Amino acid sequence: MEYQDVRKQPLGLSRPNAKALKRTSALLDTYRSFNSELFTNLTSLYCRSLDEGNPFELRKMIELSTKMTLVGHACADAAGVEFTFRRKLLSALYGGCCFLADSFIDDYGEEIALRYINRFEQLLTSGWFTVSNDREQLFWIIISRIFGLCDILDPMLRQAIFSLFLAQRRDIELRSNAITFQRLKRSKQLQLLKTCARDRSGHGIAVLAHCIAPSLPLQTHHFLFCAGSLIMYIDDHGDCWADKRNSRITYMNQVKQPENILTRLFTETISMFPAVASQNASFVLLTTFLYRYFTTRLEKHKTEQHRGGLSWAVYE
Amino acid sequence: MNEQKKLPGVEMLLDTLSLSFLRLASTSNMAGEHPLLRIANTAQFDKTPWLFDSVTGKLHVRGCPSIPAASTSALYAVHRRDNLEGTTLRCKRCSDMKLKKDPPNDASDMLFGILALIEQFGTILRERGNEFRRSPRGKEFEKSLSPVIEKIDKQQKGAAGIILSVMEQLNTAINTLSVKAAATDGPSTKKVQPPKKPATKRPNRPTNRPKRSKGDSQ
Repeated sequence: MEYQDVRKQPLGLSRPNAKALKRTSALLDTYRSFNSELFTNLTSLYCRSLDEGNPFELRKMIELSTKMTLVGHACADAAGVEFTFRRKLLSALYGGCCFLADSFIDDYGEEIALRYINRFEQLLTSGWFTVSNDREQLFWIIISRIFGLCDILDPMLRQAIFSLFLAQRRDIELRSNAITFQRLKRSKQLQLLKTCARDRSGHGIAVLAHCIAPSLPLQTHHFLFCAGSLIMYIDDHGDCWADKRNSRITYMNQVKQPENILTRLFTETISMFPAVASQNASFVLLTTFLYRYFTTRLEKHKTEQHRGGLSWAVYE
Repeated sequence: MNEQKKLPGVEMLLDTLSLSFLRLASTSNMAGEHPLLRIANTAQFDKTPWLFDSVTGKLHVRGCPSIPAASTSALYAVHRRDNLEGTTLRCKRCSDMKLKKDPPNDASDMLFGILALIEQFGTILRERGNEFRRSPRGKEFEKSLSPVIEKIDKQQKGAAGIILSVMEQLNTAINTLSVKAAATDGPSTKKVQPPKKPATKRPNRPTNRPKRSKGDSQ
């Protein structure tokens, strides 16, 4: 068995063995090349502003979709299905879709974010989306391709997509009602922020998992949802200083001892995955990725605290 | 929007179709009239009796008081009944609650779905059909298809005739049965009224009465 029992590790940190870490690095490199070619082609065809604009933005898109492809692979392993080319492409496209959707919501201010949320609601309730610039054109192309590669009307997948949308909407509403939010008790504030982060990434990974494996067992859905929530907490810890500069509050940048809390969340989540694989299912890749992501984002947090975070810095 | 470079590949073709379809929909105002696809179908989700808590990994019966408030936004309606009865994921509190039956899968929904699609795109289909029929290729096609269509037409007419006569016989049989049932039912039960006989005009009866003479009354 590649993975060592988390309960035997010192300091509560679960370190995968060297072979698992090496395999994860190799997979990331492979997927990075694949996604680089995919998105360079797509942006040159459908989105000149990304293709010819800030090079870091395209790199960030490629990096996010690379991670998403690896997470897709991990979801396939957890579901006990082969990670075929179709699943790889789905995961990569989903990463691109997440990057663009996040950029619509995060990069243009609250008013435009609210307008995009209304348009996403129209997309989910009627299937229509009006394209008004090349970035939206690329978004439409990517989601059309995703719809063509999976059964979008699978009941669990539909719920995951709609729940993800609701979580994004709640996040924007929290941000735009800052005064009301500040009047709440601190414990209530932290609870809302934690739930919001949990849902955004938990449902996000559920969407990917159900695209890849429509008959996903409920228990695996539960594990993957919790893994997705952990990814958000890790991500927010890494982006702590950039978010604070942009006056964006998250659960992780509001708690008093974020590193301790994050370590506890990491250990609790990792310990819930079964150590022994059953019926071809394996959580080794997922837990190895989570460990790698956790350690790199702890490092990023420290780096940016002293140096000052650059919003376009690309981290693996 | 930037012009698309033309490169081979099935994906490129599908991308072009997808964008063209979107442009067509927005110019013809189709988007405002008909939904294309409803992903967020909350009415369907509300019908299922089971809810799965993604946070705790527990399966609850809808309405179970043990569902944590913090899990409300992470609940998934479960549509698959397979192996849910004996699963270890069941919440202990509601595991004894009787499970309602699955809402039935209505096959007619699928038929109506197909009809809805045809109706939604009917104008485009008809226009394209008309154009194609007028083109040289379309005329050739029509020539080769005409005998087949004629044959189908005859067959269809024949089939329609058979169906109509069967339905007529069925209708007569139902009416006969209804009349019999009405005759055997008691007065207190609701019964199907037998069809009323059409009102017949009484024929003029020849009168045998002697005609009164004018002088009798005087």
